[in-house]
Amino acid sequence: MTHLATLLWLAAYWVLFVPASLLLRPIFGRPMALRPDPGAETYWVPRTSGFSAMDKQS
Amino acid sequence: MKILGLSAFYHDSAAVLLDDGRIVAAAQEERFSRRKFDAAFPEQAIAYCLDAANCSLNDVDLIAFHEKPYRKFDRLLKTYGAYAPKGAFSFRQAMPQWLGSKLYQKRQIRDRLMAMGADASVGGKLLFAEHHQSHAASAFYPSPFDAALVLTMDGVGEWATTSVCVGHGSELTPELELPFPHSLGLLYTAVTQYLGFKVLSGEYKVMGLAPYGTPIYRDLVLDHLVDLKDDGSFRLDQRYFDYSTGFRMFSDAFCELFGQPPRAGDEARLEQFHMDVAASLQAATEEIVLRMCRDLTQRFGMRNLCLAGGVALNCVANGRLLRELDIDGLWVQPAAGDAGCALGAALAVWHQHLDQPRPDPAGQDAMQGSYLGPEFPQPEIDARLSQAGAAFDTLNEATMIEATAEALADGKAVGWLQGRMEYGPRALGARSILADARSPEMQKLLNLKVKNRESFRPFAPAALEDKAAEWFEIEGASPYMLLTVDVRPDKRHAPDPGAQSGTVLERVNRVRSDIPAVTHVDYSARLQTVSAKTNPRFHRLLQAFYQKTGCPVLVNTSFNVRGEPIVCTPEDAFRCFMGTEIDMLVAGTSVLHKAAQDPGLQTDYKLELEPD
Repeated sequence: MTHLATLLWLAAYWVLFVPASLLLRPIFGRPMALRPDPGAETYWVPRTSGFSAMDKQS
Repeated sequence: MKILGLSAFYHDSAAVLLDDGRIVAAAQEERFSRRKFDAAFPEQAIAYCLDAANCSLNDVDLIAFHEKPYRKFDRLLKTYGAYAPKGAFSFRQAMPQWLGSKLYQKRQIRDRLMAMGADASVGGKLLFAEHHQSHAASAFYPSPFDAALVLTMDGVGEWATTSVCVGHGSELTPELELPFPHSLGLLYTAVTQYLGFKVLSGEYKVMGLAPYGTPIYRDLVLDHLVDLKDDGSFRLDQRYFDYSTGFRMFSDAFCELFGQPPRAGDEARLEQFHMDVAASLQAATEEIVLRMCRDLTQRFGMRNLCLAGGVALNCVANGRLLRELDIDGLWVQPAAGDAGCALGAALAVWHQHLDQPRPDPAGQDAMQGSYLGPEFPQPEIDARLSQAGAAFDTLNEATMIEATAEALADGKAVGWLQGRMEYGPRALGARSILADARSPEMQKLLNLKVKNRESFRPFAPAALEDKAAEWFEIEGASPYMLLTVDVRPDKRHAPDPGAQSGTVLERVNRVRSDIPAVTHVDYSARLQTVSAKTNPRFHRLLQAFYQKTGCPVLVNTSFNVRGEPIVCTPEDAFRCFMGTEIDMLVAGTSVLHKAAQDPGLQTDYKLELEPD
């Protein structure tokens, strides 16, 4: 059962998740920077809004 | 209004209860469950908090959780998206957990609270703070400052790994952040794992090991692993790390960069190379933190600085901030790790969600010495000790203090359980093992025969607040043991020619000051100053020791052995006393001598604990 679950999860990863990620990347770019950017002056990201509402989980 | 703050499901779960914004009780679950860094739902800590406030779960008005689960899941998905096709096996492990339970934390928390007796309305009382909002609130609201820059640094929350807020009165405004995967906490943890120590518990050991090394790899760290900007912001080059989608913190490229394979676990021999790597990491960390704080305090025009997050437990970096930064005040939340998020989430609800004003702190912090955990009245201590089979004498306080000071002056190791337990990782004289700091043998003896831990690890001093400046280079107080300072030159001994050579053990055993048991190899000490205001009994003991010996300093280490949470109850203390070579146990005013105990009650329970 565990082996079957592993196979199903790995299949979901390779058949669904990876192609979707690779297809979306040319449109949206990578969702996060993985390397330094020598040209950048700063890596700080400004918080343009305050903290999100506390009655939400997102 | 009563607010319950919760931190759970990652590591170091905790619960806190606020009553109209005042901290009534706070404790970590590990102290009750006896599992170090316990991540479980903090049922016992909650029960304690309710008991301390003399109320039930149905009397609690709001419940604050320390992070936002959906945001965390968003980060997880985007991380796999960024690394794809790498990360299949990690994905297989993480996704079932998230889809099976972690995504439904609100329901999980509600069900657990209902199982504890809450009625069905409890789900509507649940609120969620951002993880770094929780850290920032824990750093600012209890601080002694009306206005401050608030910097929080840890491994990662939802997305943020470092965040900058400005606090004014009851306002706490987020300004800047650094997003995952660029994290100073994760950099420190990656090197910790490379050096063969455990993730989330070995970081202290790396900090303690650093003074034995030379930071010859500092530039390697700052040139390759980290791109550090002038303003202190940074990115990590992810080619050298594997924590995002792998099962190890660092990559093969990391090992190639340092030219050696990772140290094979805690039992492998520590070479000079490992000490040099630790020194280099520590030097790079200090450079990043200093550069960041210097720029941010100037940019936002703030004269006070508050810190929280796991990186804020780096007391060496904190000491440098205090010495080298042009600011008026530095305050570090004593429960700076994730346990402190329970407090921060509750305070964020009170001041931010409910918009309640913050009283003028008037230069006093609101942590009550961090003595916020359970306490045991003397009759209960005596009943519990009797039940455990202990032989003891209950004395009056003056006689107990005199007997304890005498034993300490005589070189005895004393277990000391007094008053309310500390909230946070440091033992501050409520659940401590105490010893004579003047003894040249004490560090080795405590490490090997009492604490069962590595010989290189230093011990911290507790000193009378009004005498501390005569022994250490410090102005002001350090009540939470979160700063390192240097032993004063007139208390140091001249270094011998081989001071920086020899094995670790040889170097540990060199006498470098009048208080060698608490003087690290670089003459630094992680100082706690003790005032009569926050811990009068511990202060009286230090006074008595000072009158007897002329030395106002004692070794103060946590009352536990390696791998064990700090003791909570008199029974925990008695078990630790009987399982180690602690000579004397003082619980309240009851005094226990080892020689008077039934040898049949001795248990070598250290072997049952997983070393940290």
